[in-house]
Amino acid sequence: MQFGAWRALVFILVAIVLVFFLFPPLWMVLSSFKTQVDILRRPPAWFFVPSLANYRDIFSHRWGGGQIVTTYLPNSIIVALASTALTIAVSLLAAYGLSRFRFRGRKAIGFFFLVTRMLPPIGMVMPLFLFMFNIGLLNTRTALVFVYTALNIPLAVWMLKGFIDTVPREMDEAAMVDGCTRVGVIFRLIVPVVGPGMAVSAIFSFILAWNDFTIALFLTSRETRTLPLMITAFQTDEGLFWGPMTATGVVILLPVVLFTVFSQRHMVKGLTLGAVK
Amino acid sequence: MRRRLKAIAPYIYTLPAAALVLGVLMYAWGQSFILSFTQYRPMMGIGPKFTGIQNYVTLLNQPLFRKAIWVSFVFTGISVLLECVFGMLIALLLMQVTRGLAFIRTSLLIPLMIAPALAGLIWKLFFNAEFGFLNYFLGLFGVPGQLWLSSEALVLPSIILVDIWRETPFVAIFMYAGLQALPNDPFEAARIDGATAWQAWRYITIPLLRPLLGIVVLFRVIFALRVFDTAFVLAREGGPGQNAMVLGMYLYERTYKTFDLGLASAVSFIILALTLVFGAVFITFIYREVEF
Repeated sequence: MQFGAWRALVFILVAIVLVFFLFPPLWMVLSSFKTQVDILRRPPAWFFVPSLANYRDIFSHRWGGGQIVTTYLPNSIIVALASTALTIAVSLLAAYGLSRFRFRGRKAIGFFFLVTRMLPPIGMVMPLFLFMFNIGLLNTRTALVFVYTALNIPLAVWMLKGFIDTVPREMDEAAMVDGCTRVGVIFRLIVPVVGPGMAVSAIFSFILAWNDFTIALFLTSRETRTLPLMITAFQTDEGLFWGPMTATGVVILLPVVLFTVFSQRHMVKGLTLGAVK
Repeated sequence: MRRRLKAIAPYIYTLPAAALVLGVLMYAWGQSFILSFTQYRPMMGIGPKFTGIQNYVTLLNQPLFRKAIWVSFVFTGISVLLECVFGMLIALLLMQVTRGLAFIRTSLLIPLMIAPALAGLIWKLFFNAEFGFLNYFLGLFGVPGQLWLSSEALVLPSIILVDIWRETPFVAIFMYAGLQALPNDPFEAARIDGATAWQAWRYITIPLLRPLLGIVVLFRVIFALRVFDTAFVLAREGGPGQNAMVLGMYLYERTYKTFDLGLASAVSFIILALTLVFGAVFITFIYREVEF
């Protein structure tokens, strides 16, 4: 009996915690299917006739000088995918090098990646703005790809090295005795074994680029704006367009939630790797 | 020839990654460092002209900048403290859970993975004084409606609440992983010696988790000091009475309102310096713990 009461208490507490974390985004999702009238209703409308008007609105009108299908969405997808691919390619090499070779300066290089991970991006935006202006890359997607890649590399190297360390070195050596080259070892042995680790690093890199607001705010204008910046387009002189704003929020949220649902176990592993043994 | 190639091979592996980080981030910081000692206002055709530590002196004499430092410290201190307390409690609660862990893990990860700017938007909808959900919810308990983001007193607590919502799961996930990795023996021994649950927690769990807790706290501090996106969406220009003017917001205001790039660089460097002070502790911690 006492045991049953304890279980019930745990259940209620867990439910409260989950509602606290899940309800706010869920409320945004609900609001995106409401008309402006239903959004502004007080007390808040629990039951309403769902409408796709907000989605039609963001997909058919220009907001903040750009179309979602021709500007914001393609920009976000291209930039996030390109920087993720570049991040994983160079980080895999670096992580392999740091994991497998003992060489002078190895510790210093590891240290370098650790320190750069702590640099606050907000402090970099102004010099990055000047830098990109000087080399003629301001307002280009290329600029965003390079910046996101540079920001993602430290974490990716750190995580991938952790995963590669779990593969015994003897396996490399055995493969090389059998006539496999170093490059062959990376692609045929390491990549398949640390596949989930690579996927998690890729997901984290993608999410950082996809979610970023600060850097894109400084480095882009009209044609190169990414999706998160579209949020600011709904604050106009005629008022705040809550409906389309929440619908845009759902579009930004969707891939992130999908990634989280399908890779939660590996994500937790990737996050806590190195901190918990 | 082959031998020489073998000696430089390890460097070749790390070169592309290091070059990208150096080329973009370090270049930016280097330039920022130099500019912070100059007067540079390109829109007015001034500079860059070397002025020594003038920018830093100007900043420290400016009441709004001093306020921004204070606001950032309050924001960081309160959010990190509450995130750690709630995160630890949630982790302890999860240790009692046997089923549905995958769902719980997903639910905890979602706030953490949501774009900070989007978290701002979600809560803006919540905080709205007229039709927001929060006032309605508090009203059910008889609490009068608040102005939240339009209130001088509540604007900073409001953005702290959003940060707690977003980052508590980070602490909870780490603490839960730490709790699971704890050895069983000391608890067994304590049980035999008749220790209460509180005593076991206070004298076994906490000391064993201290290194991990240290890493989590410093991590959170470093990230709380740089907060910008959420503040930008929720409290533009620092909110009412500029009471939510965090350092990141101040930097944005300086850069975009006055285009005083020398001064903005100096602000960047002060944020970096604060980060590095905490980061130095962080690195000595993690560097000893994890062999890189």
